[in-house]
Amino acid sequence: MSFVRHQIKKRLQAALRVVADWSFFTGAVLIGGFGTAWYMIDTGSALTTAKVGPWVMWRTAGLVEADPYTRAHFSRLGVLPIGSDVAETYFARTDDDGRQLHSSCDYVVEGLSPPSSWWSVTVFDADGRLIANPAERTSYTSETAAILPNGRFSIALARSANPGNWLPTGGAGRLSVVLTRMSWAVATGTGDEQSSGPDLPKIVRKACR
Amino acid sequence: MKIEIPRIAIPSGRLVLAAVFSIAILHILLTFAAPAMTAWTPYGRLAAKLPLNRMTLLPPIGPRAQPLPFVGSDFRLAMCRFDTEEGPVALNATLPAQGWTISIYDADGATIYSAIADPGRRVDVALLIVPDDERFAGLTPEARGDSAVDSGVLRVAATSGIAILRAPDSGLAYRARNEDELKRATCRVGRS
Repeated sequence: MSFVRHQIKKRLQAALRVVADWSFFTGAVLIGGFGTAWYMIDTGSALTTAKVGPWVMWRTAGLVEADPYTRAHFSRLGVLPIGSDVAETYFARTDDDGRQLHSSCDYVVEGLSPPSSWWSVTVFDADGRLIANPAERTSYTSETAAILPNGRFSIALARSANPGNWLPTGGAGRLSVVLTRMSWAVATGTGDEQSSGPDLPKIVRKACR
Repeated sequence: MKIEIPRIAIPSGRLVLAAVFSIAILHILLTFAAPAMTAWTPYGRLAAKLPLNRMTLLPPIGPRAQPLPFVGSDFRLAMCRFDTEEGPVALNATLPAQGWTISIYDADGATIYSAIADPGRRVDVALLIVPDDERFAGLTPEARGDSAVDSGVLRVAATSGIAILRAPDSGLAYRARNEDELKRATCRVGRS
């Protein structure tokens, strides 16, 4: 009798071990597979993105030879990006200190406006929707923003009106800022920026409510 | 009868190896399948609003008139949804100043052609979008080993997709000029 009980016990223990192994295997594969794919598509890596401060640019966005992560990233966003061979498109979801951009705070986007290039700064909500506002202002370009005599610009992202260049953020919640830069030198690969890295604007948090 | 629950044992090396291999397979499958798993594609969303093989000037972009996410009011757009089933589609546009771009995307959202304005001079773009099968049938110049540019017309191969002409927001003074240039762009079935 005790021999039979011992056999049953052994078999149950073996079955439990198999279940444990399969649970480990399935869990690891699902978490690892979905997790790594989601991370690479949503956030990217040094191979697929260039990060400068809070700005992220997908290196092969809009190119024929775009890598699968970049293709998946922009498909997921539902965007038809301008080719990164003709324009640099940078996305920012945080300020320079790494804090999430939010409409409850006021920010300043400040940087140099290179005379040889065209740029735009546009503010969206987290899902890429433009933010409705009475001023009907959602974007500034190098040709519509007031540029200081020293060639620098400053754009306020704030809920309430600001003097100078002001992009209203309303009650949008989390924000995304998109910087698009186009320059003939970059498009033809003859610019200094190719080697020295781009001088991108800073996003500085001023105050929160 | 009391059953001892086996202590959590370190998974065998073979199991870990199998898991790593399976994670890699799942990762690759998900990455390649991701574009097909989206609820709607940019092409699908725009196709419903755009006439076929005709350049359409979109209204100024704003919160209530935004064709796609992350498309801002920094550009005014003209779009052409093309389909080369009835024959090649000729696309003509001018990029008059810095910031102007033209891009052609296939139905999967992949860029098949893009160009930027050359500062200091007007750039006339003349493209002939030919069906993919024409390319494979050896009818296009590049298929015959010749240059893709023939009499100033560049040939690109695609079955269907969207061409987008972008005019940058250069301020109030230039809006009428930009609108006129966008309206002048054409997209039609034929070779000119």
